[in-house]
Amino acid sequence: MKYSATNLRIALTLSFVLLACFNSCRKNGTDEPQDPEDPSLAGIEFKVPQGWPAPVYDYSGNPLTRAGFRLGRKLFFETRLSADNSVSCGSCHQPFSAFAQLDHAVSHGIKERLGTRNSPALFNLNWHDRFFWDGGVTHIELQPFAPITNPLEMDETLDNVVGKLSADAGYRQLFREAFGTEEITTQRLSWALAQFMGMLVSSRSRYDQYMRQEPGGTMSPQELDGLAVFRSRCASCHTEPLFTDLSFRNNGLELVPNTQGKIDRGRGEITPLDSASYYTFKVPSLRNLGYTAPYMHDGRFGTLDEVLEHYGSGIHQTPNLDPALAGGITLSATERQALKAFLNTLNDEEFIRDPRFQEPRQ
Amino acid sequence: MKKAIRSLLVLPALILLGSCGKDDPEPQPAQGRVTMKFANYAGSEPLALNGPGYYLNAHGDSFQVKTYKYYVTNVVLVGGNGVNYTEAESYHLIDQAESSRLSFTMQNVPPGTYTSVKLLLGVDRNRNTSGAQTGDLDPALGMFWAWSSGYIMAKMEGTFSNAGTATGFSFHLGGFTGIYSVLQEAELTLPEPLVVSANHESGVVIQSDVLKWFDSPNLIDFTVLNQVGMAGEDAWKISQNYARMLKAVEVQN
Repeated sequence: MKYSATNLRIALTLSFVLLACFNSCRKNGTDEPQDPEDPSLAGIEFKVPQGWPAPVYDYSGNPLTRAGFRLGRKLFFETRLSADNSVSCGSCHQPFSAFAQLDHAVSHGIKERLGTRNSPALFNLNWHDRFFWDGGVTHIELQPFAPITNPLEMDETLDNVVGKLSADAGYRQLFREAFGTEEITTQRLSWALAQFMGMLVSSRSRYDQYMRQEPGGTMSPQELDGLAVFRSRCASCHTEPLFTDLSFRNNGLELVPNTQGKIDRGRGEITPLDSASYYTFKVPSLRNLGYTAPYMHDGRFGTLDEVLEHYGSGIHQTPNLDPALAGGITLSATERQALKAFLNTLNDEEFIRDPRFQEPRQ
Repeated sequence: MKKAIRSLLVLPALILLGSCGKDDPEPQPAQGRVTMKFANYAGSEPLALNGPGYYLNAHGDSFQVKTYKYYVTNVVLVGGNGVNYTEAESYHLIDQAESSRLSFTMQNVPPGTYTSVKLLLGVDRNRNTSGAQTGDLDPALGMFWAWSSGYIMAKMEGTFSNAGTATGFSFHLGGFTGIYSVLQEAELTLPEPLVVSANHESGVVIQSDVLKWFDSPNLIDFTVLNQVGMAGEDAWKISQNYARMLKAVEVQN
């Protein structure tokens, strides 16, 4: 076809028409954050690590976006979620401690109020169907309401939180970027937090590299011995790759009053009609133990040696003691050293240093 | 020939433009609206929060109510001809303290005659475990247990006279699984058929009676039971009573 002026005009008109059409057809997306090179917002996609089971969380009602993740991260470290604006989620869930609170058996809420349970490390949450040591919360989106309203933690009302955030033009803008509206609701607050928390995947430890046969994934003979000890003595509850089977069990801890003077029934606090649930607690993951001492639901053991001592000779025959622990877990000194060496390979340095998961500076 | 080609080139553009727009909806037959109005009573008297008068429960305890809220969900209008209307996204918090929460309007009700209303007192099991909710299900409304995920299906708080001393009572009734679930289905026969017409708003007035929380089948003695804050047998007993607390008293055609 000859490129006559008329034909050129037609071609140009058609191009504009098509462009205009495609623009109006595209879904109204939300504004993306302005700085695409920011490493703290790189690769915001939820990926299931190779060989892992399917996650529980369904993003279809809450699509993961950089804006949603960024808002959720800011909220996670926001002290205004507490009644006196002093305590944030990050106060007791610290990135360098795999989102537990290092060296704290239990944590303080506002005004130095003492809690009753050890701050759990937060990672791989999208595989959990129940949250907290007692499994009282059944959906990750419902989780934030518990610490926000707990008098021993943040002691705030959801109304006040929404009010404080709504009064802040910066937050209104962030909510608009994440959800297309400046109307802040508890639902959007929890969606943003779920977008942040869901991204906290710990799957890059040396053990993981070894399992995926990646460079750097070498294990020493002692560590491999430890892996064998682990698989024969611990894996029935601390199942790979999450290193927990997410069940509720009684591992024979002595029944002692908590900081409120009561014996903690664990799962039994949620299902008191089921006496078989008394003194059972959620099996924690064995990942990142190097960063998350002390251990157990009340942080009573400061070291892994104390934990292994407990399993070896310290188990109490309390009601609902898990049958697998009736005889304890006896390890020779060599086995114990090998096991500890192996457990060290589950510490995920990349996870705790990940720039996406750190407290934002602004 | 060139003119023909030019016209042909324009055609795909027009088609594309046309497909970009919203699809024209199929023409719908005109629908009606039905407003469900809730009138809360204590026996034969309209419920007044915080007195000054006292009510008497079946056990003989005199009491005042300061908070009275309950969920009405999954509303279905049962048609005289066997065709029902099921309200979409049917979750309503009735709150005696908030006039805007004493009624709700159902849209797009097919014209016809309806003879009864089915509803669930409480939030169904699925919605309790489906993640963060909003609107009438917003946990900021104070009807959600954050520590053990689940809605407070019905809440009544107030004071009663305990041998002359004013004592608080607080009934937060929840639990949606197992033998002590407090979820109660109700079917309320309408005193006369509800006639829904196109582009017209009809009404149904439903009364609730707080006294029914405490009489039968489980007689409640406030000196024995005045605090319920978790799921269990006590909550269930009261829900067995309040299952009968609603009555459709008027139809406004």
